[in-house]
Amino acid sequence: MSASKALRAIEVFLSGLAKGLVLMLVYVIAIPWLLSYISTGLLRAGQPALPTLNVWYYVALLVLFVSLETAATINKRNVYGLLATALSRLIGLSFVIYALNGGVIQGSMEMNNTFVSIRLDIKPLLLLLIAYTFASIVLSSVDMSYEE
Amino acid sequence: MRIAKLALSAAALGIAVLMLLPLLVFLLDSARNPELLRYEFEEREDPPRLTLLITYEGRVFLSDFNIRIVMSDGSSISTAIPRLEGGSSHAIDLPLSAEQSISPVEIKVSFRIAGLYPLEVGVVERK
Repeated sequence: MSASKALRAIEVFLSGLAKGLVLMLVYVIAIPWLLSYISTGLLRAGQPALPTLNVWYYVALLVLFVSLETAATINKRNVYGLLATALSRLIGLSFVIYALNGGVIQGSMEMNNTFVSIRLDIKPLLLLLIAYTFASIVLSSVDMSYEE
Repeated sequence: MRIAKLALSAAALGIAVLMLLPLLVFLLDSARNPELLRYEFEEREDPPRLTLLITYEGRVFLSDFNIRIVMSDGSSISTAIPRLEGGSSHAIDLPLSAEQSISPVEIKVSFRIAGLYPLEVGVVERK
């Protein structure tokens, strides 16, 4: 393998790693944390912001995202790259949809013989995230058509 | 192409921040001030009515503000305010029939935070 090919391979891997890390951080950690912050802030309940950290679960997800994004970078000029991009974005989106719980955060509490229930509809955020995910997939396809 | 993508990404990020900001500011306000949205009742006579005083001290406007009050005899009265600005107070007279009990047992408040996020709060007195 020539030096330039080795450099290209490292570049592709690092690009895939960076994109995979960003996707993992945004979809699996940051957005669910933000939603948890919103729900606990709204109900003033002292719940932990993140579930118990299962290292292997996050490592497996990271490997999945990095593999898909590396595959997308290697196959940037063909349809397989687009498929890998779409798959990684949609998997990320599924985590957000799960965390959004149908776009509604709700809870209740009882204090001093008074029952208080709260229901916050955050579907506008869900729609925005879905729109962004599909826009990023479309942009990837535009990239592909430009570089072919 | 790269500049167009950058501009598009910046615009997308701007829209996301603009959409998220009112929700976060409202939550921050409600965490700092437990009495962000206050309501008080006052019984008045001639004619019999219930005066509802709503005070909102937040920084984000609330739209489509609706309040429904269920009385102890099962009857209910409701009213709406199209827009509630931060730091404003509204006094609303709710007419009562002579035989109507004036003790509210259930209050349902619904509004949209900055016209975007519907929020419903229900308060039920347990006996």
